[in-house]
Order: sequence, then structure tokens, then C-alpha cells
Amino acid sequence: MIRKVVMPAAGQTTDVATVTKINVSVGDSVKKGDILLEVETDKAVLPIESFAKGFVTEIYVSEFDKVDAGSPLLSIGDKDDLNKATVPEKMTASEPDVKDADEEDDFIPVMPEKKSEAPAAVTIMPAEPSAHGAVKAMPNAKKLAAEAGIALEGVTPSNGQFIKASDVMLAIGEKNKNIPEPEKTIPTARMRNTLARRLDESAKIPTFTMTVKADPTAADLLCASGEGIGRVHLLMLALAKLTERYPLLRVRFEGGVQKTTENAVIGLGVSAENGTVSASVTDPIALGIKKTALECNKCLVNIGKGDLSCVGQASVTVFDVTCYGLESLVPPVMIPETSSFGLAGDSSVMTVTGIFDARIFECNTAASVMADLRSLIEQPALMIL
Amino acid sequence: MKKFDVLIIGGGPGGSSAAMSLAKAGRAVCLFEGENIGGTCLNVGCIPTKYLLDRACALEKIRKCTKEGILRGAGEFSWKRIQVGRENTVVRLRAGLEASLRACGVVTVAEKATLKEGLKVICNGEEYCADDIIIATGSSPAAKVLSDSPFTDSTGGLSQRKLPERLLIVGGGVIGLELASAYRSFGSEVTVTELADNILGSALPAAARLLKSKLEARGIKFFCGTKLYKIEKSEAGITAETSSGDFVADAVIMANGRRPRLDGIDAVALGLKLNERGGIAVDGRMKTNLPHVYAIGDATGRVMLAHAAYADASVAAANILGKNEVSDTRIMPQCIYTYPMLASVGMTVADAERLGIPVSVGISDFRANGMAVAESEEGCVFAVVDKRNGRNLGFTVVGPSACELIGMASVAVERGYSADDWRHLTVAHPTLSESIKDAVLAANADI
Repeated sequence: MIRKVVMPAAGQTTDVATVTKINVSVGDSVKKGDILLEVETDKAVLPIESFAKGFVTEIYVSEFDKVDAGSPLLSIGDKDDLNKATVPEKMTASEPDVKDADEEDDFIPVMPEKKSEAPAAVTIMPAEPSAHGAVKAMPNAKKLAAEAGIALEGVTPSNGQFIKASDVMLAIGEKNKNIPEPEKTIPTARMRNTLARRLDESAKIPTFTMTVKADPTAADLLCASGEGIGRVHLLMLALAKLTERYPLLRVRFEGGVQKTTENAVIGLGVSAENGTVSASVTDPIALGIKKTALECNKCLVNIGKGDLSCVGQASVTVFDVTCYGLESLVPPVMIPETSSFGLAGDSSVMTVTGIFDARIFECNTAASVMADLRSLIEQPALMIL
Repeated sequence: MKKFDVLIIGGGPGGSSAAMSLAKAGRAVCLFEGENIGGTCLNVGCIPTKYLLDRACALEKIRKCTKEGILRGAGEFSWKRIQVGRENTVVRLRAGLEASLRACGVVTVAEKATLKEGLKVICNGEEYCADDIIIATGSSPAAKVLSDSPFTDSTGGLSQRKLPERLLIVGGGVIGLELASAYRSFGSEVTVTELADNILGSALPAAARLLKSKLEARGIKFFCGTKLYKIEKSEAGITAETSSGDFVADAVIMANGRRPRLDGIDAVALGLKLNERGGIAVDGRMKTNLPHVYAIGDATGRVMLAHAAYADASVAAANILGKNEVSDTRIMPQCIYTYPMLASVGMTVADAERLGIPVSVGISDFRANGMAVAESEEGCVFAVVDKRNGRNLGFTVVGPSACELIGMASVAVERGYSADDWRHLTVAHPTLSESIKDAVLAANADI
């Protein structure tokens, strides 16, 4: 129903007023109390409020018009009235009854607000026991247990309520003492000793090296994105990709036993205060090159500050000396890893030298790895396949 | 009894387009629709989803410009206005379709109809008969939503009154991913669970992985290989009990597929043969086992896409008009309107391998495409070509405007273009289409 808003009797001395401002246009939704327009009498400026909610269907006056008391100013109707006024006849067959349009809007910021704690993601809680025979455990604990072949029933929850990943890690450790608990922080002195011992052992194992030269055009195109991506990150991704075809690259050889990790963990050799450590990135393929670069760069900063939390056990480690413009680098094998890769070269070439534990790698396998590595570096798109 | 040449049960994309083709050819057509003309696609499917996704993409673009410092502030948006716009878009298109049907002379009955033996239909107590009948009853979500259900289906998922802060979507197929992508852009924290080990099982695995990684980068969490046990309202919100643990969310959308809908069709009583998907069994001419009864679109449970229904409708109408046409579903583009989009046509590597065709795959990365770089968009085009003769067998595009690019790719597959055809085709520069050509040429470089 269309209702007209008329000029009220403005004062005792005059019934004529001037329209000074019109706040609405035809089609606007208004609610009771909204100021539709302002009129000026000889005494004051008066706001004309809406007495109803609805849509402005027509405006009869213009700014600076003089209006008498009782003159229509504008009309307010509902959505259908508005459609009659503005929508062509054939489109009105079943025009919507959009109820929400005239209610107050609750605007949401386009950029998410930065919250002090983690975002309110869908909360994940441990599954309840009994109903389906499942033990109460966190999803990551279940995944870890399944991967390690540990029955959840045999794992004791440290909090007495549900099993966490750390509980499963503990159980894995008990099951197989040979797999060391991943160390979060390595004390400096011990680190120096460990590194020295390992390098010493490393020198005693039989190795052979191979070098490929790759065209850096594609790699440098990626580096040009300005997101902290370097040639070495592409090499890390390429190696991670190759672990699918050559699972030997994931083998760690310790105490005469070959162990392989589920995911490709690629280490980046970083010089720390007490020697070279391996900053490891798990599954760079899943992370993508940007995140891999980000992770590595974060690690570099942290290691520089003495925080070694990102140092871990890798499947293979890469060493990057590109910035020195050297011809090649033969890296050490970071035993119990069984291969390492050294990256060198200059603006026109990427030189990658692989050093392989001869007890694990056949010469032709290693040659095939190196040739594939060159293909992936030169055509990064192949990594998607 | 009212007599027509053709009766059509269901006014979705298939039913409506068949009705118009037949009416234009001079047949007296009566179309029965118990709900809204336009069916799932127009009212609660493709069209409203696309409205949401378009606005979602606009927000993503604004975010990009803000991060780049082009915009000083990103401003605020109104979820309510988006919902109003979505409804208005649907109404506008529906009014247009209703007008087109009227203009063609199709008689529309806005009531549910029941198919009877002997080419008869009962509607609102009245009997209708015809020489031919087309069943186009469509499909409905597999999840049944009751008034007190703690979850909603894709229809309810489109019209959430309040933007859910935490949203759980059960099902990592096309519908689930599109809703996940849109709601993530509007700011919801979105988690998707999928029963299978991967999302989009039938897509090219490399493309599905690429899409998943892009969606994950936007903050959508995926739990594949996850079985759903129970959903119930809890103090914390709505709790879904699954094999990957319990998820607590403000809204849960079941997007676990759609089933053929046979409202008003008593297949057993009519002796109508159904197929293994629970849809109506048809031959290549869209004929059912009952003489002069045809079935098209989602009701057949074959390819549940609106453009497949249009193709079916065209074949059914042609056969009713005495032409001998057979449906060809080989070239059936599939589009997923996520951000970024995924679109495909023709064969994947696995499809070709099943047929024993040796293939070569060419990849063109949008990072090497000037237009995509200018638009700050990423993705890839994958071209599958026959290794023996270089003919194009299929394409998958992940990235900007993928659903538009796939049109060009469809022509190449349909016509069996070779590398030589592409070499002689000049593609405008800079356009995203150049990547389609580059991918084909890359595939042929291997041959």
C-alpha cells in the first residue's frame, strides 16, 4: 500500500517551508524514524521523519522547493509497489517477497580482523569411545597411530581423558627404541659433538658424486616473484617430487637397517653457531614453493637467533652456495641420510652435485635421479603430474 | 480429459527446453511443475550458487587490491544484501523463463502431476492425455532434511540467514567445494570432510590436487577418508561425529550428492525400468522401456548437469518430432565454480588408459601467461592428446575463467583438433586462451 508523506504544519506564524535537503532516492528502503528530508521554516530547520517502513516509491519535491502544509512530499510503499513503479510488466509475474531488504544490515569487514588467538576454525574434538568401538583420540593421534601401526587401545592418554599425538609418539618410541624421539631443541655443546661425530662417520662411508648443469630460466622466473623464493627452494621441491619415483631418496640407513619416512622431508643445510644443521621442511610438494620458501626463510631467521626448533631429521639435505658464484659444491652426506645435494652456479647455470651412499644407491639409479632432477628444474610444471 | 500432443512432467532446464522446442515445432505441449519453473538449477542450484561465487570473487579481488596497497581500506559487506541479490537474480531469470514458455504457447500447470498407464497424467483431479510423455522430474539432495535436522542440504546451504562463523561441509564433490569456496570468501572458517581418499574422484588427479592445494592455501581444511557417524545439536554448536574425530560447527551442510527424484512416477506400478543409479533407464534416444514415454536430465541419474539435461531434451524432442537423433555425452564439459575454478572436458589420462589409447599430457602454467599474471591469478591448463596422431582428447583447466575457457577446449575435443590445427589458429594476445594452445603444443612436443 502506498502512503504519502505530507508537509506538516510547521509553525504558528507560517505554513510555508523550503525543502533544504532530500536524504532519500526512489527505491531506497526506509524504516520508521529515518530522516527523509529537511525543511526550513522561518523559525528553524525541521527534519521530516518516516512514519513507516518500506520503500520510497516517488518523490514529489526538489531541493529549494517551497511547500505548503499538507502538500505531498514523497510516497512510501512496499516492495510490490516499488516493482509496479520500476520493473517492466512482464517481469512482475512472480517478483520476490524479499523480506530481509528492509531490515537493519549487519555489515561484515571484508578484511578478516586479526584475532589475538587462533581463528575460530571448526573445532575438532577427540572422538567419543564406545559408540563405534573407537578409542577417544585426537584426529592427528589416530592418523599417527595408523601410520605407525600402533593400536590405540594400547596407548595411555597422558591427560587421562583422550589420546594425543604426543602419547602416540611415546608409544612408538617404546615399540621401537631405534627410532629416536624427534628432538625439538639441541643443546649447543652436544650439538657440536654430534655434528662432529656424524661428519666423521660420514667420511668413512663409501660415496660417489654426480653433477648436472641445468638451465636456470624457469627457476629464475619463479624467483622473480619477489616472495623470497630462491633456486634452492625449487631444488627442494624437485627432490621431494622425485622421492615419489625414487623411494630410496627417503631412506635413512642406521645400524644396518634401512628406514624410510612416509613423507618427503627435505633439509636445508644451514650454518649455525656450532656447525651446520639441517632445517627440515616436511612435504614441500603439498606446501608449494611459496610456503616452502617461507618456512626456510623463517628457519634461517630463527637459527640465526639460536632457536633450533625447526631443525629435524630429513630424508635428504641440500646445501646452497649459489650466492658465491662457485662452479660446484660436493656436500657431505648427513648420515644416517643416504644422499645430499649441493647447489652452486651463477646467473647462467644451476649446478647440482649429488653425493650418494654407495651402499644404498646403484650408479644408474643415481644417474637417473640426477637427469630427472634437471628436467624438473628446467620444467617445474612437470612437478604437478 | 484434456488432450495434448506432448505432456512434460517437470519444468527444470530439461523439461522447459523440451517444451519450448516442441511448442515451436507446432506441438500442443502441457508442462507440469509442482514447485518453481526452472527446477533445481535456476532456483536452488547453479544460478544462485553462481551469484554467491561471483560476489565471493569480488571480495577476493578487493582483498588482493587492499593487500597490494591499491585500496586504502577494504570496507564492509552485507551478507543480507548478498542474500537479497541472490533471490532477486533467481526471480528475474524465473520470470524470464515463464515469459518465454508463455510466448511459445506452452500450457503450464503449477501443480504436481502423477504419471498413469496409457500415456495419461493426473493433476489436481484432472486427467490429461497425449501421444508422447517426457519425464523430467529432476533430482533432490541425497540427505533428507527434516524440520528438526541439525544439518541442512545444499538448498539450505545457499540461504543461510546468518553467516556461519564455523561451517562444516560433508562431501568434497562439486557442490561441497563450491559452497566451501564461497563461504570461505565471505569469512567463514570452513572444513570439508570427504568419504573418499581424495576430493573430486573423477577429475584429473593432478588437477584435483592443484585445486585442493589452492583451496587449502585459502584456509579451507580438508579431511579425506572420513566417515560420518552422527550429527547432533550440542551446547557448543552442532557436533558431527566422524572417523576423524568430532567436529563442532555453527552450521553443517550435507553435500553428499543427489539422487534422481521420481515424484509422481510409480515405476513399479507402471512397469517403468530403472537403472543401477535409481534413475529411469533410457536408450540413446532418451526412450524408456514404455512406448512413447521419454525421460531426460537428472531423473535418468546419468550426468546430473543442467547442460546435460538440455542435450537430453533436444534429443527427446527431435525423436518425438520424428527425427532419428542419438544422444552423445562424450563431450560433456564439467565446471566447478570455486576460486580458483576447475573445468574439464573430454577424457582424463585414466579414461584414455581404460580405452587403451596412448596419451601425452601437455601442461601450460598460467604463470607464463601475461593475462593471468596481470590479473594476479594462478593455475594450469592440462591437455590430453592422442600420442598416435596428436588429436585433442581432453582438457582440464584450473584457474581464472576456467569455465569459460573450457568452451574453446570443447570445440577442439569435439572436432578432434591436432597440433597443426592449433598452430594455424591465431589466439589473441594477451588472453588466458593462449594457455590452451600452449598446453596442446607442449603435449605435442613429446610426440
